[in-house]
Amino acid sequence: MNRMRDVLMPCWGAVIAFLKVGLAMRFNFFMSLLVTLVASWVLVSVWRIIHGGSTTVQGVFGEQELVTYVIVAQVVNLARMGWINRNIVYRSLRHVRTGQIALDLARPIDLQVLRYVEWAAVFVVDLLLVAVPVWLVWYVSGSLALPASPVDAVFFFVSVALAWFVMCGIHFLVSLLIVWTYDEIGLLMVRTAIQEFFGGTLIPLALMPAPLAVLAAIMPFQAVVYTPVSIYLGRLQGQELIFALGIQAAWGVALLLAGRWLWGRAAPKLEIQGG
Amino acid sequence: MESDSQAIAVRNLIKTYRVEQRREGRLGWLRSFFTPNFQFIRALDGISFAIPPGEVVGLLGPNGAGKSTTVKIVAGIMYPNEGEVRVLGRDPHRQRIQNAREIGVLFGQRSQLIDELPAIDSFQYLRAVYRIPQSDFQQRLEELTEVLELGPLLGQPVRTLSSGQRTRCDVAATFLHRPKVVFLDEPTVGLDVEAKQSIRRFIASMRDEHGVAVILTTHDLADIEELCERVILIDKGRVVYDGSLRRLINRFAASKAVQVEASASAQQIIKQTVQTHWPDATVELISSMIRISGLADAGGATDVARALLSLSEVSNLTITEPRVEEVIRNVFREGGIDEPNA
Repeated sequence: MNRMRDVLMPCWGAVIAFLKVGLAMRFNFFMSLLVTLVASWVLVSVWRIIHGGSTTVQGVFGEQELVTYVIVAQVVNLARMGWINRNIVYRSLRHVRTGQIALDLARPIDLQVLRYVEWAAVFVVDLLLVAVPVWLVWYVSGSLALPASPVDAVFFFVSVALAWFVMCGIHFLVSLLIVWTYDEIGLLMVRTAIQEFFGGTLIPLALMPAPLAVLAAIMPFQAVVYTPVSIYLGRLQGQELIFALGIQAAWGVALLLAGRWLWGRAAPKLEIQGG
Repeated sequence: MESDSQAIAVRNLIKTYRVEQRREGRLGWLRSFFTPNFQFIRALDGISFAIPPGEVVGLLGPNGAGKSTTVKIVAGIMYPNEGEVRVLGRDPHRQRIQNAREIGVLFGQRSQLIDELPAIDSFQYLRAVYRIPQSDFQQRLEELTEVLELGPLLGQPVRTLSSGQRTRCDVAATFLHRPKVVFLDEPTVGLDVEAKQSIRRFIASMRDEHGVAVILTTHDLADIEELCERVILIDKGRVVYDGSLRRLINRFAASKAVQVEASASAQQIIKQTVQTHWPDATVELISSMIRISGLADAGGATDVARALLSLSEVSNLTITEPRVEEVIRNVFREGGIDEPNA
């Protein structure tokens, strides 16, 4: 019991601190909201043009379903250059380049645990202040369908939580690469581009030609966006759904372990020069 | 192991950095883009020392001597290429988390407070991270608030504080969890005289009341004079002196300085007299004061004083201790000391 408390108390402290950081950045929240609204509007427009009034795209998606897909994908897009990435992920990368990480390492808390916990806090802020409002705006405008069923809605939230877990793994690995590259903006841009394409944020993976779809299927990015959105739409049912959640969890664990391994390699290489 | 009774023990630390060097020649910048040229620079070249509990040791050296690198390695933040580190008997790299619970760090150039939030939020965060019981936390915070005069600062976002105010909050953050070993890297940088005084008093009280061992690096030698009996001088990654400050002063500034008030005409006479009899001495004119320092032998100051007093136009004669600044400058000018660890 005491051991439990020993582990949880620092984590809880970090969650509270970063909730406060999130809420202290009021203006960032408005920008994040704006960016997400604009991005989803652009994608909806593009797909409406492509759709051109035909009943389905390649016989896969109806128009309403496609629009819902694109909007929900933006709502759960944990890689968007808004709140989370500009402040918290970028900050952890910048800490390595500027040497501020020295102070994170002087604390009695595991660096990986600390990062996951920080990101959990801002994820909650992002969910409440960006994701939910964007979803509501589109829902009120009448463009958006509700989750396919109440059960799907529940699994959707489970899947979003797992998506966060996978995304933390990706963030953490990327944030370690900076020990070798020393370029945080470049790394974030490359990651965002790959994430958005192979995660299915821009184009539903079901519409990709075979070689690309296979590539996307074997990478972790689809577990962040494509899986939760497919569950929302009711496209995954029964065994398939459970299997998809299992894949998400497996990616989360695999990336966590990969992060531990890479941090073990990166820590001795860390050079904090000056000051 | 002997080093287990020490607060800090390091042996033969070696650390090399990989640094990019621009290629020579007219198109060096272009060639460097395609084939960068890396060189290894030895920041630490076999550093060894030990510090017992309850001692404040000054770590001094010119820019780039390896002071900060030493501190970061001993704090468990960076890894040495070779050598052994023990902090309270632990390996700070293998047992980073246990070690971190017992140490405090302050880097004067970077803040450990969360920039966007008021300092009180950072303190509460640290309370959770170090698992400080609520009652202890309250009591310590009250103490620190009083000693460092933090009262009105606690509720303001840290980024809006002046650098001196921020440093005071940082000092509080360093000591909040009652560390047994503390690394202070430029703790008084950018502070006014009064704030410096209160921070020095505070560090001294932590040493005396709680037996905290402190490594202090600073460019303000008044910090050293007031807090450290022992100094370690580092140059080019090596320890060039490790011992008492007093001995260092006696050795490198054999004499004290003499200062008198004199009229302009008397100043000229004094200057000539000193230059004839004590050619090594430095004579400085500070408005109506004249200061004679850098005398070669220990008795020099007394002789000079006697000679000056025989002139009727002088008043307010004082004999002062040599400035540590001069001592340190002498050490590094002479390229270190021939008997390290003396």
